[in-house]
Amino acid sequence: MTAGTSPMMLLAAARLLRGGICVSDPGAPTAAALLARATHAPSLELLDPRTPGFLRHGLRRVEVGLVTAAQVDAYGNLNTSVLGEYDEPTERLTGAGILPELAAGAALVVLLPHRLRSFVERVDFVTAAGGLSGPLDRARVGLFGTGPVAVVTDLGVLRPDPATAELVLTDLHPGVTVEQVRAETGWPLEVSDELVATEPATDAERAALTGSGP
Amino acid sequence: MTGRSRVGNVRVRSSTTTVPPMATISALADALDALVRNGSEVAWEGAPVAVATVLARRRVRDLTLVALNPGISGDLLVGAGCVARLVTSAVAGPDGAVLPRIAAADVEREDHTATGLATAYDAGAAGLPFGVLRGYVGTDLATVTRVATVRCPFTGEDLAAVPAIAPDVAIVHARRADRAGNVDGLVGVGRDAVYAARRALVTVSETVEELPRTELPGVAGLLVAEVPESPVPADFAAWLAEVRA
Repeated sequence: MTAGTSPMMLLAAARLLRGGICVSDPGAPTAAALLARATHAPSLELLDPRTPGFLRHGLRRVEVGLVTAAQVDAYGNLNTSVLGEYDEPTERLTGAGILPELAAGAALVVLLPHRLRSFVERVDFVTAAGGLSGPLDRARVGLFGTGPVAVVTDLGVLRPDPATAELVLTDLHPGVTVEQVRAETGWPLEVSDELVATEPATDAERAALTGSGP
Repeated sequence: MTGRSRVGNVRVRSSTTTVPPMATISALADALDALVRNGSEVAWEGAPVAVATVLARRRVRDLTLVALNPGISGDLLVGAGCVARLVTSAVAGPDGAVLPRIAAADVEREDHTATGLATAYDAGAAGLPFGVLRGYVGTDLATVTRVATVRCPFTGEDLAAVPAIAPDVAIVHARRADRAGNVDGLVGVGRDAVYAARRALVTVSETVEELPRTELPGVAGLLVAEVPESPVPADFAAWLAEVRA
């Protein structure tokens, strides 16, 4: 398990998946997809982006993307390109890959350990569009796919508020406080009126997580 | 000798080889000597580590490397100082971490999305000047890289346009080839990169007696080299100093 990844993060992400055509980044996102498939979503179809023809023809059929990023901001925009200025970056990241087109067309579940350096008010570079700067922006620029639906962390789950397009705290993992989440979030994080606690792992989920499941 | 060639869809046997073979089995070093020059634009789609180490030994310079993801082999090539310009969509290793030598390298960069590069190869393969896609929308990439907007002449929809990639050479990997140079098991955009390029080398993990067909029909001058899996030198800087001494 990579640093900052917790079982609750994998569980919370896996529970968001119902089935359908999916691609996932290596590491925690793929672990969450496999967990969903081993438990409640056996029909989840996990595609390999290296399949010939995928980029030109297969990608637009993808319904769900499980991804990670270096930075996410208050509107769910994602950065995997550079930290700092594009022309003189302080750090070069892994690059765009399929993330921009995935964020344009599919529903995106972002898995990212909740740390202040990653949860920033505004990303240094918009590699992939979340809500851009407000609730009407996606439609205004011609993005008609769903885009980010949840940012799942080791502390809880953030989802875009349809009225503002801003990410708000909707789920809190066991033992975590709102203050803890706010301390690791770089913008004044709103808490949903319907905040829920993440359910602990079921027996089936625990078995799948420890690899003793089917 | 008994040669085999294809006339239309009919496979024929001839007592003499009247049609030159579509692909030539070659030693890796010979193939690279024939194909790669200083300053070449090289499509690098799955090239194994051995290709990078041969080019590093040869002190090839000023390459433009085009790759969806250069991988560990591309990272070594950049680390050896062979590359002046990188056109990529991702620079990640198999574990998802950034490729260290590329992250630290002072080379010119052109960043794209994976779909953007796939579209650019596709345009190059089709002999078109640019390719069209729905992409880059709402991203900062659109403001920093070579992408433009074109309007659909039929619907009026605005679409992204990327300049075609038509490299001097494509180096791609496939699972296997046969003794006649038929190739099978290309992945990713390997096929498109070969058709987009002027010359191409396919590295394969295995050579078999005979394959029923090739995934690369009609590519004149194609070279095929069997390349064994070779490890990354443990101390690459020391290895490089030694082979160049």
